[in-house]
Amino acid sequence: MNLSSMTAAKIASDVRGGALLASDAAAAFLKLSDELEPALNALLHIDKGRVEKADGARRGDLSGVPVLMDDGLCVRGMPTTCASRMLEGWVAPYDSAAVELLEASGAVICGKCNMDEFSVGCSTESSAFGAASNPHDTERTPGGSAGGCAAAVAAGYAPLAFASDTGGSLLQPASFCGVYGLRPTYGLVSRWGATSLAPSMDQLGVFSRTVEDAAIALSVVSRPDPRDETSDRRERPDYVASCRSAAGEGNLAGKRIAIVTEVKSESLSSDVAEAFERVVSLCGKEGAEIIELSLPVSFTYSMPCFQMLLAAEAGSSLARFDGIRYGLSAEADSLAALYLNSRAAGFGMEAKRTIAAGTYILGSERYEDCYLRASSVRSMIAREFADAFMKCDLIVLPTTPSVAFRKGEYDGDPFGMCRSQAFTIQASLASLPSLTMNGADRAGLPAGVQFIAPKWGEAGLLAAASVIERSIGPAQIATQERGR
Amino acid sequence: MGQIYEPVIGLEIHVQLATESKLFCSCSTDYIGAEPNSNTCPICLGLPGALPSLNAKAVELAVKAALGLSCTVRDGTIFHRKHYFYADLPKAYQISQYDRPVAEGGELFIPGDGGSPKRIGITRLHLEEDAGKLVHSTADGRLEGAEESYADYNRGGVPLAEIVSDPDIGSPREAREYVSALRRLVRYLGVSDGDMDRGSMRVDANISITRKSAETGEVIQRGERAEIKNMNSLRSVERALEYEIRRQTAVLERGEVLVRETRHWNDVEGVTTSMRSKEAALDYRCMPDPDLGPVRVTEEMLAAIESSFPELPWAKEARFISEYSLNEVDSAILVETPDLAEYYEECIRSGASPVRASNWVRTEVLRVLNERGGSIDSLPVGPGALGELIRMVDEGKLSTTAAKEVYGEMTDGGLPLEEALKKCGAGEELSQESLAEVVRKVMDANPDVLTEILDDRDAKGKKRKFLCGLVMRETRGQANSAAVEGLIDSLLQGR
Amino acid sequence: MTLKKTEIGAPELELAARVAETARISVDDEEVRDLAEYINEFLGYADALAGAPEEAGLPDPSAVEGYEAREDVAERSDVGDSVLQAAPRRIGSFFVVPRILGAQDEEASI
Repeated sequence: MNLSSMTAAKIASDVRGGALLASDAAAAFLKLSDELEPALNALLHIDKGRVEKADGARRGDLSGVPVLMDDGLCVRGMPTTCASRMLEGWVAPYDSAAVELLEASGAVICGKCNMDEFSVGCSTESSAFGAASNPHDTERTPGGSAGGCAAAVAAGYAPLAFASDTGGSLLQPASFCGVYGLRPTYGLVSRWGATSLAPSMDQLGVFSRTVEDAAIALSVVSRPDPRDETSDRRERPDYVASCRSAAGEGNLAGKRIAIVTEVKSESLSSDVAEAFERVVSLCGKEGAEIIELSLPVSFTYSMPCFQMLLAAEAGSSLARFDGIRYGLSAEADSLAALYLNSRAAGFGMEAKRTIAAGTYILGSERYEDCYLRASSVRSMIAREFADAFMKCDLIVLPTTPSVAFRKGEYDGDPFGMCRSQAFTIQASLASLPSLTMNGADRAGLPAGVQFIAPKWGEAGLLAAASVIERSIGPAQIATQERGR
Repeated sequence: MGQIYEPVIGLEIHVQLATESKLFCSCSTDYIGAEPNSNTCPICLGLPGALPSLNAKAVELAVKAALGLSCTVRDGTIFHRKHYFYADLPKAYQISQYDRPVAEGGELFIPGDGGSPKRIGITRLHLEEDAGKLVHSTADGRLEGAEESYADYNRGGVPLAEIVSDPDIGSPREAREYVSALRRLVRYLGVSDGDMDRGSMRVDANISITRKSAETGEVIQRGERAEIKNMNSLRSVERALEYEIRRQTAVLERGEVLVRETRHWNDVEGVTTSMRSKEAALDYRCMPDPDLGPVRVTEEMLAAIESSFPELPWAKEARFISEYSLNEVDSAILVETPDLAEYYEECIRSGASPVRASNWVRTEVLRVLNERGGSIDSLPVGPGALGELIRMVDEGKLSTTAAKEVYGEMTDGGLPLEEALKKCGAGEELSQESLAEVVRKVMDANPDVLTEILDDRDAKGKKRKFLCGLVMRETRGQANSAAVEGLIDSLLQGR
Repeated sequence: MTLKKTEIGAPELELAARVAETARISVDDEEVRDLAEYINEFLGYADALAGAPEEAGLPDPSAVEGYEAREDVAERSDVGDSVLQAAPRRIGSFFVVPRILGAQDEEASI
């Protein structure tokens, strides 16, 4: 069997059983990434050392499974650059919580993935180390900010990759690259060690090619963590069990699945509209009751609300980069110059714009009509979703309004580019879990369809996705021939 | 038309909370004398991905202080990020509190200038993390002219409670009383050691002058206020404010205008100098900290904290006055720290009379403490031993002079009470023979008195007591006065 | 939703320059213009929000229930040592910063 197309579940079980060596799985990763990287540029770092020691990995749910981490997540001993000159060559001195949990379960962390600089962007084009490419069509972006992770999983480098999602940084690339992407409820997975962008909305999630792999990954990383005050302490259900039992005999009978009135097919590209129809119709076939709900506040005001809060929080999160304790430190004969020059040289233009906007709107002139207003609108959006979940079990909607766009398409038009997040910002704002799957015909470019669940509803979400997966299948490894 | 210039003073005091670890991480707060940057971690260094973790004890101590100040404590207090760039601030924001602080609306009573207690309102109390420390490359260590500075983040993240008073303070003296009372309170509650020398209590003042009509009291003009920093002792607070009052009054008298500014007190020169104009006030762009949730403070927590309150300084002071018949001044001295008050009361429990014990503690004990430094626990003479010694004086077994000698031996020589008594030759029961010898000697030296007694001219026993007193003096208080009287009687019979 | 774009004039450029200074990012003229245009278009979001309904007192969606604050125990981290060792400018156990006082004095001591 081609190691590159093996699922995490299979690799782990074979390694535990002795049928497969972890080093072989890791070697397959090296070989494939070596071959495809010139075209994809999905990776920023490959950890040959860990790859070599793969057979020493612990025994657990992810024994011997090669996994990749977005370069915004700290891995001790590996560079963590956030795809920025500001942290070029910076080696993290400590591990993220997710990394600790993954290694404890036997996973082999093989490297770090390319991303938009400091997660600001939707295409990975703002990376200081070159844009990544979509494996389905290298003229197109894999999306962003976690585009490198999505591309790597789609190309078959590894069965799992982990990244933070803020407004769609994980869901949108998953959609563009045709893989499964899971953004958990805010507070389910510890953010310890994940570089913050917008701390009230950042949440660590996973890319995979099967629903079961996503469930296994989630069960490993979703432990409560006292180091993260926003980490929830409640007991986690058995995600893998939910998933497996649904995949086996489950269906969607008795489930009310809602489509959103405000998401009109006119605003979608034809391939997305088609993918969406396919998935909705599958839900119906599996026994779900399809209803329609209106969420006017959420689908009119999410974008301005999200952008305000993102800018304010991001500007704050990125203030600490000043060249004094770590990171790029410019030549300077004064403290003022040190700040001004280091930050000018370290940040790319995208990051600078977001910082500038965020800095401005927290000022006393605009705080009220920008930040406070956005905060209160956010609470209304969350309430609107909570009310909706009284009437349904899941909400289904397209993940992105169109398929992956071409590189350069939004040069000089950052506001245009972020429209690709139009349907992923709501889950961030309302702190809800969302899972995206490729609803498109496998012959065409991927088009994601997502299910949003109520808070802490990952088990139901994974179960429903497992049912649909029976029909649409796992994510296929991308090859260049498709999608032109 | 007469005019008066009235000072309007408010104090902002930062108190370092007595916790083991920092406000948002587990690094030690014991930074004085520590190797620079040895008490640091990803959190207090502001590394990417690091998240704050709130110290429960810091919240408890802040609430305790708030309750001691009779504030209303908020359930659901939140933290804000206060943004500014400076080399001692790793995240380029300080985690502090803005419009929903831990507590608001309290009071502290001080001895007012008029002689009666004066109420000083407390505006608010909030929690915040301390910044790191900067050392400068100049020879005198000052910032001005330094080509380089050196950052030590050991202090960064240490928990502080900022206590802001209403502008109710009316004079430098009252300001000093306020700081003193607050210091006493935080020490009593175990909230902070309140040490201005070591920086665990830092005082900033806001002061302005109001010009009023002397006749009607009507306000004619309110001067702009100045913030005064760098007052590192009670005395500095008083002196700095005295200077500022003179300075501001002079400006107003000249018909000139004061600007809102921050001024730095120079203790050596005895002046305040302008630091920067507060007109260009920093906009801190405060934002609620998304990494931290609201802090719940329940009724149960408040009750538990209140029940752990020790007797507060003003209550103890009043009790000492009534229970031990002390005057206000002496009582105030004895309650200055809970340790000292406890020492005093332990002396009384060990047998000392309250008034004599008060004298001893205020003079001898405090003298030794000041000479040696250190804490009351480290004193060579414990309250039990001192109490016994004082009791011997109470009972007439020892004169005060002799007792001081004994105390000296115990303190300097480190001797326990028994041995010190022996060494001074004091407190020993004289043998009957030696005592009789002394009695005979005294009788022989006072034949007239003796005659009067023998002639039955000592109805009230005063002459007998006189002789007894002489014997006691002769034996330096070592004799038992009852035994002496007995001996006098028996020897009289022989005469 | 298209955001409005108004003309960029001197006030907008001045604002952008001031904001860049506040955020401690040195910018050249081209970048000032870029930021001015960005901020200007970005503020269209404020206009959009102004049309949203008003309601106060709703709970914060990201608030976590029932977390417990940390017990007050001091623990040493060795990460601090590695950060110091890797510092961009270091003398002994100190991080070094160049001349603090200059044209812009922002001594914000506590």
